Amino acid sequence: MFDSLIYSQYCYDYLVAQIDPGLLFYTHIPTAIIALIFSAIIFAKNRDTVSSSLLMICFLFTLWAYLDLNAWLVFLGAENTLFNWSLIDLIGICIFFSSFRFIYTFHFSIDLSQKWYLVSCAIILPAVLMTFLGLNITGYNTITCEAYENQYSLYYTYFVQASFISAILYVSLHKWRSARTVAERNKTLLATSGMSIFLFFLFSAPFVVNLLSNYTSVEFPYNYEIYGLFGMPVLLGYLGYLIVKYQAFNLKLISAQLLIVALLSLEVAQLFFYSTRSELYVKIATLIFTSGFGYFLVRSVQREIQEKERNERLAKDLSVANERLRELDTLKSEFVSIASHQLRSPITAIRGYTSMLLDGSFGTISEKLLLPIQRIEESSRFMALSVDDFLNVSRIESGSMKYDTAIFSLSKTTSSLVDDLRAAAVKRGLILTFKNEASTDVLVKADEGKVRQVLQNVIDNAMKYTPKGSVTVTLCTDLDKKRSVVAVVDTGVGMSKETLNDLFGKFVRAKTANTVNVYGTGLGLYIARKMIMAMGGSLKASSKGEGYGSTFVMELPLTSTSA
Amino acid sequence: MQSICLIQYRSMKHANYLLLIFAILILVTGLTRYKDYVIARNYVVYTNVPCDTELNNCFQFDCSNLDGDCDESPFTKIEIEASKAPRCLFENDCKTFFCTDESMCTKLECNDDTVEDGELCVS
Repeated sequence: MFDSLIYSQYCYDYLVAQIDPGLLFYTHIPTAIIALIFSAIIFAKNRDTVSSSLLMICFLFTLWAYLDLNAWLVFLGAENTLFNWSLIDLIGICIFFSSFRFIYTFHFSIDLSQKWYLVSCAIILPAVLMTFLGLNITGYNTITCEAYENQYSLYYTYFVQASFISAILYVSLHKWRSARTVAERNKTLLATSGMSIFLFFLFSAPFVVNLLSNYTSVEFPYNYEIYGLFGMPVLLGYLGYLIVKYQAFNLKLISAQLLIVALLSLEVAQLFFYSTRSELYVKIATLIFTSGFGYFLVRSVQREIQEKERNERLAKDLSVANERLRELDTLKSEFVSIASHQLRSPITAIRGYTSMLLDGSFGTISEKLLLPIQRIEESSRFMALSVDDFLNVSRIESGSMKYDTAIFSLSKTTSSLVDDLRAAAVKRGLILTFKNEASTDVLVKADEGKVRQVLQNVIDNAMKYTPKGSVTVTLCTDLDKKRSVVAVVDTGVGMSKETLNDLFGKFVRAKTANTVNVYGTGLGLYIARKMIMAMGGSLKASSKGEGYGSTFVMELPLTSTSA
Repeated sequence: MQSICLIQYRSMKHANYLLLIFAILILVTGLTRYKDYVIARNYVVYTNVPCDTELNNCFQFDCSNLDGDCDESPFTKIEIEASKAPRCLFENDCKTFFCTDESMCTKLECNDDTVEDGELCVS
């Protein structure tokens, strides 16, 4: 594989006896390429200080991996080994500085202050000078094909690296303490952990190697150095998780993309290990198949995510529109309230004067005028009722409806109401009856006036929509549920299922309503139900269909006395 | 009075200059090392060459505590300027080697001061 590149056969044999060259390529090349691509994508999509810091780390890491790999390939000649070896520590220090800059900008969204820059430069400068003057390398050992390093230079490198790790932990702790949300703390923790692991691998590997070579008789201690490179995939894993979970770097990467990239990287790395040509072809074919499969998988997941995002956007727009509609509804209610109040005063005056005219307060009126005045009185009465309906709706919707709650006898109220309405029923040719099936007096705690208003509305409706037959009002109690029940059953026109569904809505009127009651607003049942619900009860309607009559059931909670 | 934004902006500009200067410094350092090591071959080579025990005090690996392969042939330690070193030194296959130019090459005799752990002096 390397035959044409071998400059020193002795060093080649020495290297092969020490380590598998395939392992060197496996640990150095894919990791560096993935890191570079990953950071380049982030930088391309989001050109800010954080992304540029990450790109700088990955670029320096790639350079470091290149130098390290070349230093390992000792068969390329002593000059090659020395040149690459002499720069490794300096580039390593630059990686540590860039990592600190990245963590700082990631946490605080601003670049390092001038003070931090100056301190960092002051620490790095001696290392640059030592490298520039060639003081970090003292010579070349032809027996081990390695460079001799100046121990003081090496210790200074460890000092600088440890300083930057400490600075990273310091600023991260500061950020973690000042974080306001759990998500912010988690992000801080994840970024710091990933970076610390990456740097610890990079820092500890040469440190351990140095210890092994100085104080133990371990054969080929430098073999352990290559494991320092595995810190980078760990960092990328952490950053990938940050992107997927918290949309860090304003990126919307998805787990599927990261998984496919990781899978492809592993397969590319496998290409460095093959014993026969057919094995290599199988690996290449697998790589191509995985690439194609991965492409379609990612596209499919992306489409689903786009669809989901579109739906979320629509739901959000709908929510905004609903909120706007609610505001408009409130404005409408306010308008109706104001308008109704303005109408009420003149109507009251009209009704008062027409009533006085009919009573003869202004003298006897002629037969010719009697009918028109009666019409005026009747119309103004309906108009007053309509205005009352509008005002009630307005009060219900604004929550300003007042309920004078007190304990009263529902039996007496219902009985008295039925008695009052009986004359009107007889006038229409209907039989209106009241059945009290409760064994005792039914006491409820509610606003008596409003309960009476609701019952009157329901019985009035029943009479209006019953051309012939009867209207039966029944009072009973459900002692198990502690409820009083008033059922109004008529033999009238009945209702279709569609009508029943909308019956308690605002401004809803039956199809035949205009032939029965031209003045109706379609608000009566809406108001009745809202009032009963506000008093802890319910109002329901049922019908077997058109022509089969209707049943309205009003429930109210019983007081402890009656129960 | 300068605005905070302006101070921040100028500070960032200084920081960018600093980064640029550092990048240039590192590049220059790299070029210097390349010139020194690759072009001028200006470095010291440490190697071992065969030694005649009848003429010199030679080094020998102490194989008494080692299992497996151990080369017991006597050797002399040489420090030599890379530019003056013959290729056989890099391949560790010089049959005989003498330091002709003392200013460029140093031959280390084995004695109590120069012998290291795992080595013996033989003569």
